[in-house]
Amino acid sequence: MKSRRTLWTVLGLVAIVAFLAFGAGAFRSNLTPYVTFAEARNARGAVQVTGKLIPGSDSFEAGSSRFLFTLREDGGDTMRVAYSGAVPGNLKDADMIVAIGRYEGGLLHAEGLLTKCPSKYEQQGSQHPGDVPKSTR
Amino acid sequence: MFVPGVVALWVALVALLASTILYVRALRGAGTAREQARQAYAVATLAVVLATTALAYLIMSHDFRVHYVYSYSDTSLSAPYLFSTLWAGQEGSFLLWLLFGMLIGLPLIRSAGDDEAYILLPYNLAQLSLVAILLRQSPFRFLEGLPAGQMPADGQGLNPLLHNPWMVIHPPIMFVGYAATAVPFALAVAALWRRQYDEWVRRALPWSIVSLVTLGCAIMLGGYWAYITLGWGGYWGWDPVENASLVPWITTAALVHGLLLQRLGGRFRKLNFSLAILTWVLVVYATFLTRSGVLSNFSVHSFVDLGITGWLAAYLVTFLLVGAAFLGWRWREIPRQHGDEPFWTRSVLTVVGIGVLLGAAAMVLLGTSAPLLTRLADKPSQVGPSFYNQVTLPIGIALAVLLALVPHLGWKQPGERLLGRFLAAGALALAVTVAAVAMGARGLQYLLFLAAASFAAGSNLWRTAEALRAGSRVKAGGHIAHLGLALMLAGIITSSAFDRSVKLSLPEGQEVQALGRTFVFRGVDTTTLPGKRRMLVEVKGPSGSAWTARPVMWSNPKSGQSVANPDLRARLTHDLYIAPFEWRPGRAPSPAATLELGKGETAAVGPFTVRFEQFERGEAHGGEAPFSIGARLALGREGSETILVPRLSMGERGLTSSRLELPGVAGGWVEIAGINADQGRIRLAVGGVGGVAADPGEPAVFSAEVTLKPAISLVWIGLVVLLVGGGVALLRRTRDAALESPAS
Repeated sequence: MKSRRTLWTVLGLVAIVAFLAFGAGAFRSNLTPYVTFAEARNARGAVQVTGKLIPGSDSFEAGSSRFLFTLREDGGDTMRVAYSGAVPGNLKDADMIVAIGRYEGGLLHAEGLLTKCPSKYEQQGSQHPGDVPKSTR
Repeated sequence: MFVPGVVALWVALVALLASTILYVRALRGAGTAREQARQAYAVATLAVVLATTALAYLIMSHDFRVHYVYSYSDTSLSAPYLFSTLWAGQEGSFLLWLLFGMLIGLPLIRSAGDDEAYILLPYNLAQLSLVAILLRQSPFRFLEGLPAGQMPADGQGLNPLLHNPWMVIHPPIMFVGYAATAVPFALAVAALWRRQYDEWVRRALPWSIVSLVTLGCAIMLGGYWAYITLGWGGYWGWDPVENASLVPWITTAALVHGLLLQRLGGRFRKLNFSLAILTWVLVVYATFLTRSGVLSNFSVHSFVDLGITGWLAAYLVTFLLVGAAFLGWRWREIPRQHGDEPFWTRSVLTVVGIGVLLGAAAMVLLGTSAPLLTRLADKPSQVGPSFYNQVTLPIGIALAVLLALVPHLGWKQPGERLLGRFLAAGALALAVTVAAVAMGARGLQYLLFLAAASFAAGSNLWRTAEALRAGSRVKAGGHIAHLGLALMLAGIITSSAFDRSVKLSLPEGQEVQALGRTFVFRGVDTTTLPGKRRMLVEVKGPSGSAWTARPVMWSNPKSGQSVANPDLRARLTHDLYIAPFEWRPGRAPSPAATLELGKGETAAVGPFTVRFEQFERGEAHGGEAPFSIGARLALGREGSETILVPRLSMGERGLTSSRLELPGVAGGWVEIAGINADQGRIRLAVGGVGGVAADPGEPAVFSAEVTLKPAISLVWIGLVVLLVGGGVALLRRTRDAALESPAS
């Protein structure tokens, strides 16, 4: 009886450690640092950048079902972004757009977009991000 | 400042402080102090009710001098929405939370018995912290810089996305849940203080179930609102604000189960104290994360910083320290008890389940806190939905397996006829999974999840039926709740892992095939909803049934913010979800070719050459047209030349262009399409001439993401079942608490 209890305790501890290791691994591999455009171009993994949408730079590419637009950062640097998820309805009116993704071949391939609207809309429940919960698959 | 409101808040603060001091005196045995402390608490409650009423009055009477009223409401809102602006903003929602907290305190005092002072001291601390925030950031302050005696004519209005019945009731339910989590915290602190390690469980259980049911309900209402309103395709986005309410909900679920175990065998005392304190601290932490602006770069959802960041951080530290101090004070004294059940019993598996829940809570908390944690070490970073989806998948499977096993096992003994019961539920799981594969579902881990969830649903359905047949309806609460949870898990996995999605560009009038359906964009309806564009999309299903989807695109005239609302067709087996993202107006087809000519220039049209010679002014026809201008054209064909003078006239009906027939071509015509007087150029439209390329125009195009979500109805059905089960359990535990109460 005693030895069985010990066995279960050990198994439980192993399960907890394994889960924590798994969680920590997933955490590290999914971290996206908040960087400037220049840093994003040299980054290896996924990053997130923030900028203003340049009016009129947005277009929908029917062939690849991508939404393309250009962001301008505070310093004036610009970056072309491609996004194939569901585009947030308020994208064109957003104060700031946060794009999360990988930089490759002159484009930031965004997996998620967040839009930040004029401050009075930053109230509870006003806006969810345009995240695509399915982007992991 | 709106003085009566501010006075009410100050009265609440002073009365709560008085109540707290009097309870301290009651601890020392002052005979009348307890009664006075109660009265002070009642005064504070009344003051908070009055403050809430005052804010509601200011809102309903459109007093736009008040910053809060100006910021969140306007005169166009209907009464229910207008009233809901009471909790649409930060200050109002803190006030609502405080109101619920004060009201919950009343029955708490009545049921507290001898422990009243011990319970109400930590409880008052929670209420005091809310009052202080409201005095720091008052909902009653006036707009700055407003000249005396003046008031803006209208407010900025409620965010149009919140014009939704679900959003009217979502915050109040959420704040009942938040307010109720303070009760187990206070009871736990009091129990540690008094060294009564078991009695508090009976009282804490109903309040924990209240939190569990209300938070769960509010979270899913928010999700349902997002699903039908926002058009990002789902009900859950792992946004910090969503997570912030999810984590305390999970720990509350763990607490409820821990309390049940303690009631059965007097075990897990330390676990339950820790969980009760932790849940409240997590509620404060969630408030800190979402209302302090620390996550403002990582969520759109977060509130702006109102200058209460430091306060919230201080509260967090205070409650954490208070809780930890009481736990540490008694930790060694709390009696331990070992059980000797075999592994395959409900008790042991429930402990495992609590562990799994805490694992889930830890992971979601870790992800949500990522920006804070990484800021300490390096660049602020965040994790996306992929992190949460990865870590919650195994947790979901484990949870579903436990849900499946638990109902048939006894608390102390494995139970009887186990094999037959598990085979029945297992057969159901197998059938569901095989059917899913047959319908195209793929992915081993997702199928495993689905199998486990159906196994759990089958098991709990069986037990629910047994309990109902045996006539013990009140004891079925747990099984019903678990059945609901299992259905939800099944719905979550089928709708998010087995969905099919396409982006469609629908030119007006053209049939487009996708997802086994035919879609035709039939144009825009601008009349039904004033100021909004309703896209009419005809959808023909595989069985020939047809419906018209009406997703809406519009922009809020006040903010210019553009809004896209999806439309969906909900069926038991699947939802068809149409989320609009672009609409391009078309160009009407023009039968004519257009020429642009300067003076003396010549162009060829079909068999003709056209030379624009000069403008001819005046010569109004009979004085009807006050202004008219003609263009003298020389038309050449095979060597001969004809002069034509088409005119553009400004008359009572506006601009009219006279259309002249072309000589020698049946149906051929020319007219002036436009004039640029500054540069002396004209635009001519020429039609009906062979060899002229007519402009075919361009149809309007509506682009949308169309998604087929299998069995998403199970999420909502499961939720309702879960809530019913929670309600039944609440009934039972409240009755238990009343029966065993020494006061009665």
